[in-house]
Amino acid sequence: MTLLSAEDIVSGYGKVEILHEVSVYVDEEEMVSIIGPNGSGKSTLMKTIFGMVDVWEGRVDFQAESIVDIPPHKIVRKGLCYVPQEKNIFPSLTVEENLDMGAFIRKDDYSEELERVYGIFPALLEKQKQVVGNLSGGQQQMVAMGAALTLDPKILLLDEPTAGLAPNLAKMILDKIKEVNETGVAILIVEQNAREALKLSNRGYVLAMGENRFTGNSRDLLKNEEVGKLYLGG
Amino acid sequence: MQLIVNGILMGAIISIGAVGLTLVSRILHFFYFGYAAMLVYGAYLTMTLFNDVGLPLLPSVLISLPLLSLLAILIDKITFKNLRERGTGPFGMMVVGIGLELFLRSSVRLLWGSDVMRYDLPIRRAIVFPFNVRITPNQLVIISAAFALMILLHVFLDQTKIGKAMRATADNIDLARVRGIDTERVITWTWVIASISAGFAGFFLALDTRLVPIMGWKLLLPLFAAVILGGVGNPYGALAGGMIIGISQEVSAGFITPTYKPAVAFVIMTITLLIKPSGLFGRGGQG
Repeated sequence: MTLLSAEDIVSGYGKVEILHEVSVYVDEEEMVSIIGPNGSGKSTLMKTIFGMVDVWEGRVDFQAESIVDIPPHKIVRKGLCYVPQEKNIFPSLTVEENLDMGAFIRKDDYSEELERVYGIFPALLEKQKQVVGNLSGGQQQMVAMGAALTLDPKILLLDEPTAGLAPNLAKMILDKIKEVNETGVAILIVEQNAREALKLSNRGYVLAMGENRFTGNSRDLLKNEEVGKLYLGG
Repeated sequence: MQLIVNGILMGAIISIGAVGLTLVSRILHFFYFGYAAMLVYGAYLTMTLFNDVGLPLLPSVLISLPLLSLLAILIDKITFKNLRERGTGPFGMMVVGIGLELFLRSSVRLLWGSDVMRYDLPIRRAIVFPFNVRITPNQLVIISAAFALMILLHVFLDQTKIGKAMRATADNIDLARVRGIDTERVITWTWVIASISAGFAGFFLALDTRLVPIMGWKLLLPLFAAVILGGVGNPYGALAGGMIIGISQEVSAGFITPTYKPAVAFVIMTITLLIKPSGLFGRGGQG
């Protein structure tokens, strides 16, 4: 069943139109990658879905309900969490406190979710009391994702979770994301390591110049010569 | 020895004041010059309640704090909230802050006059400690109360949900919003904490010296120095920074003319900005 769908989205900043009728959808428990060159509108699409950038035209539905014009802090409550590319942690707070802030809106007990987060990212368990600003880039990404998972979301929107990480670390983070996905959380991910991301995903979208360029299941996209040459680095 | 004790006293006053300033600066994204007037108002409100209304000293202080908080929140709602909604940048905010400082300082002259005043307390003889260190009973009260306050502030910021949300908002206000933290409520709480911080610092300073409308303005430079030294937005840094500034100011009086005391704060602030702009207890990675 379709969990999240964005149809014919037109949006941008100020007067500059960035997205020209872009459409994507994610089914329940699915992992979907969005790839494409810099400036193709990938991050803008994520922000538009999450209500941080205004939708000019088109519609965004989550669980068959429109979420256009709903502010981010209310979208979060519906089970759609977004992890921004940058500044996605509270650097002077400890790991534990960052996770608590992730679950800020929860009034009930979330120890089960915390257990799941520490289960997926055991490295964080050892650093519970440490200030996140002093952790490595990879560990900071884990904190950012862990904080989003404390809300037990149905879908995670991840904007370049491996940006700035060494290749082996990036691979590890992507494997972790697959692990999260296998627990039943749908994933919509924007990723520079396009090939790796597609290998782990069910489906993929290639965006270019703010438009859908290719769409299909990952295997076909990986085999597609044009996609390979232009967007996967040959 | 005497100079170090004086330094700890001054450091305690600066530390208490710097905590509020550092949180306000970080969460509102600008250096609020009107903070000096908050100190002055704290000291004068306490004086009115104590000298004129005739309440005992401690209740006078404790009643002045909610009054000061209300005033601060009111000013925020009238001025800064509107500016925030219009997306005014830090420069505009700072200019408004300077204007508020001048306005509020003048209102102190209007309400209480420009004369030097003091709390109607009997003058008590200093207690002489070993090494011929002299401390008045008032100063002992200031130092111990300041340390008690620091512990209370720590418990508030470290243990309560709103305290954590406040530090989170100071770290990254956009992310705080995404996480569903009501940042306007956090800002209101920030003004309450800032009022408690400024109110006590103003009261302590007035208790140790005397009341003049300019007293807050004179303390503002060491306060900013403490905030920058500790890393803007880091309350623990502000406490430590306040102690370092206080002690170095007072100890410097042993080597150079005391008139240059404020210059010491200025030199420390400048050196910090040149060498480690994020402060001694910088904020790591992002931010």
